[in-house]
Amino acid sequence: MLDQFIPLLPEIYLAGLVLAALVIGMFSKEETAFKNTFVIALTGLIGVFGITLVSIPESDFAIQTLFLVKETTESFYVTHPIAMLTKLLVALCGIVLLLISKPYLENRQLVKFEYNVLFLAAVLGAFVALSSMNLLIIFIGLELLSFSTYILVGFNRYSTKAVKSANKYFIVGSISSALMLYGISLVYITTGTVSYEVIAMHIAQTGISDLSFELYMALVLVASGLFFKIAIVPLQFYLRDVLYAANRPMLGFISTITKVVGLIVLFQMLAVILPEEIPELYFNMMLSFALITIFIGSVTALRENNINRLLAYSSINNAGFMLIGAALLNFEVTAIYVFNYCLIILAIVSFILSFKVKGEYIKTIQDLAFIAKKDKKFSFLGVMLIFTLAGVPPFMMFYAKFLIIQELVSSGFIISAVMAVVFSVFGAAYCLRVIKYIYLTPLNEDVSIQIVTPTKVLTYILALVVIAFSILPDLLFKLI
Amino acid sequence: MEFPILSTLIFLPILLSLFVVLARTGKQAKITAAIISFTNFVLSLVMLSAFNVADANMQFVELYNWVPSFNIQYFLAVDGISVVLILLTTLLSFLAVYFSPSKVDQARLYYSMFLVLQGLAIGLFCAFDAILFYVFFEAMLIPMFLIIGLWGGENKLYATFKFFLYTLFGSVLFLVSLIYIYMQTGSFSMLAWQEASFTLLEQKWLFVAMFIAFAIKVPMAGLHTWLPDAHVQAPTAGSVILAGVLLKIGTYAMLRFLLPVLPDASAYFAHFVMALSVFAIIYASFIAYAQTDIKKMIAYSSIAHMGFITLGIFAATELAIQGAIMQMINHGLVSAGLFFAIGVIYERLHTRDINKLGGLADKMPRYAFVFMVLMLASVGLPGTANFVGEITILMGSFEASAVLTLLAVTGVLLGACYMLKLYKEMFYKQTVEVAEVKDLIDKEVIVFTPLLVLIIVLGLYPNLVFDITATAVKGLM
Repeated sequence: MLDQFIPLLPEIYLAGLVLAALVIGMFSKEETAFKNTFVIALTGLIGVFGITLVSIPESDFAIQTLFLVKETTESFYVTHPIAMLTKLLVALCGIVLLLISKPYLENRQLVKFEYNVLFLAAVLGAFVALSSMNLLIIFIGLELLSFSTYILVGFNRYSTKAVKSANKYFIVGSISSALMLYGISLVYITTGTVSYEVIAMHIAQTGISDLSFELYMALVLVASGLFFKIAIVPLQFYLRDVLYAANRPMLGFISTITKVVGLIVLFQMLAVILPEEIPELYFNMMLSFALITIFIGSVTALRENNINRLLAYSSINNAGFMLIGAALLNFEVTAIYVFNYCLIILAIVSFILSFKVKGEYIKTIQDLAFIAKKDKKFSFLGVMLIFTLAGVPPFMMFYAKFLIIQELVSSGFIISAVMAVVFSVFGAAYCLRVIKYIYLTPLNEDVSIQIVTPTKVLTYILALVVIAFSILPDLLFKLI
Repeated sequence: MEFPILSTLIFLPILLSLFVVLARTGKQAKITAAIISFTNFVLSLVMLSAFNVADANMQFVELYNWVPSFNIQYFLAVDGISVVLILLTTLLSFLAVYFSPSKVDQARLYYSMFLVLQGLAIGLFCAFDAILFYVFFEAMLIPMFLIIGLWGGENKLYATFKFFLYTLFGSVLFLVSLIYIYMQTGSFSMLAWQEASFTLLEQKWLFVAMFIAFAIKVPMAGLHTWLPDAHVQAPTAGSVILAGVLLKIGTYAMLRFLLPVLPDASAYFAHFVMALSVFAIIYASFIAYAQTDIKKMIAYSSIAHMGFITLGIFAATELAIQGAIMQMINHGLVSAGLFFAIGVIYERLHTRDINKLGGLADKMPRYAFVFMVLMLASVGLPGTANFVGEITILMGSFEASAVLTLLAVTGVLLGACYMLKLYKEMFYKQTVEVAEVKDLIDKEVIVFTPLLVLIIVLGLYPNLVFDITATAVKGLM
């Protein structure tokens, strides 16, 4: 009886952690509450990483199903390598983001233990959403993830801007959830189920061309809910404003964890429900979305000066590349891209948050010029990270982009491949603009710069990982 | 196992550039960098001595699996064409480092960037895996971007952005073609690609995509506008490497990718490319004549000279290709020398405007002599290496197209027009009063000597280059 819960261990453990952190936070003294819960959250996430690592099923890509409801044949909860690998990545991102958060919150006098509790809850939501093939459970997971992030975005409640961001995120996010939920109910009406496998059977029996309009509509609505999380054009509009005044570590959170979860959930859905004969229309549609996303993300970034917004655009631009991988149903390529992207975004967020100018964290790319004056080696590192983000060889993002393009060419979408690479030149252009401000703009003003040492050390560590994967890209391929 | 001389040539400067970063003063940085690049030059001579000119196979092969999951290999090798270009690279890099002032801003970064650039350029000339080639091809943009952007002239940001984005734009299309060829052949090895056969339609598309990338690097007429900007803004040593080494990458890649892998398309487009080259020769010469900025004038003359090289490559006769490779070396030596010479005068008088210069022959006799040899070589006077290169190209291309060759010959004449005008204005015009200037100092003499000696020696005994490249060129046919 109990052994069927073993695959659920990471989620059960995480849920326990959330409760433990909540209780300990409430019963600790005010000064120590944050510290205690931080330790729980950090060690807990490391533990989750370990548990997930050992519970990866051995057989490759076999879907293990756990039946919680005996009478039905629908799987509520699944563990398979795709979900497990993504969970590992989410746990890793969580650990890094927690490490970035601590000095940031301390510097902004925002040390409240609720941060750690909500952070863990968000990660739990991500885990739940990733491990199901049932639309309702996915919905619950995504909501848990989103609600926690709504609050975390506006964690600095004394700042009007941050609260505005959080409110906007909340309202727009709710609309997208509503769309998704409406889609799920339509799926239920037409097929009588919310489980991928049964939907897939239904589609296979009816034939893709004879599907009812309602089911099409339903799937489009569900997909748009996920597009919203990944920030695919035209559902990317909120990201710029939300990230503008968001709590800074959440910049990394929304760009990595939320996006990855949306993408992999979409990927699992597509992989299961699409019939063997995939109609041309599907590829045309998905690739158009992806290419428009790449284009909009890179072109709008060209004149942006605010760092948060710039990262928002960059994350939109990269979402397009990820969507290409997911749309072509190649998990390996998608996973490599996602991993590279998360690593480099975390490194850059950590770079930006490792110094303060005039007592404040920097806001615009012009502020980056100060760091070059103060610490040449560190700013050189920043320049290398941004070249990596631009996808210039020999840095690792190049190999990820290369694989996406290769996948496109080998699937026969050569024109799309050409468009993707040409748009990526725009992407490189905005990265160069950042480098221009870090490095090539002379500065006469003398200002005080404080270095946030823990974050700086973290940046160095992340940069070392980036370099390792740049020299030996094969390491990553082997891992996946 | 043999000593991995090619890897050493590539990674010695790249890894040891860390020592340059650790140097305490600018002077130390410079000395360290000069020692490293000189060592690399000596190493390349060692490689030359071990190179067997009669052997038609690739030599010093280093072949390892780099990214086995995607069939990407670490595949280094050289043939005659690579060898001469590697020698050119190591020589010019050493001279560029040696010539640079030690008082430059952020000297440590400056010198380490030159070393990295050198390593990457050598890597490109001996990479025989297409992706490895592409990595070097692109990675080189980074140090060059920083060199122009950090140590360039007034308008450096515009120039460096234009340079970076222009070349990046070209190369992404190149990447798509590489992937397409890989899909058809199942390998990234450039040697295996030579056996592949594509339909003419495929070849045409691939040719267009790759040709744009290479034509931007060369640069050919129409895609050349980044070059004058980049040259004018770059620091002297940057210009030297840009003109001497980086421009050769485009023509080298044409020899490696277009002719052997896409022979039918190359034949199909040959007349078009040759016409474009001739157009570049004449057009760039006229523009050069109108310039008042010496550096811009030499930049345009580079475009004209590169036009001769592409003319030779696409004439596709053995003689013409031999001449094109010879001319790649010559242009490397002569344009490097000319940019050094401009650097000398700019350091002393802080101007590159012809109208503000004059009568330098009296004040700087040694400089006037050096400049004269370079000028005559650039014009292609018999006795200098350029004469041999140009005459071989013209003889070779005459078989392919007599009309175009006839038009190209006018380029030699036009070259003489603007170079002689430049020389007259700079050295004999007496209407402008120029402040007292020092003649060449020892350091500068040391830089110019090997260039001048090579120009004359290769002019009198061009077989030094022809012997090395002959076997490789036969292999291309």
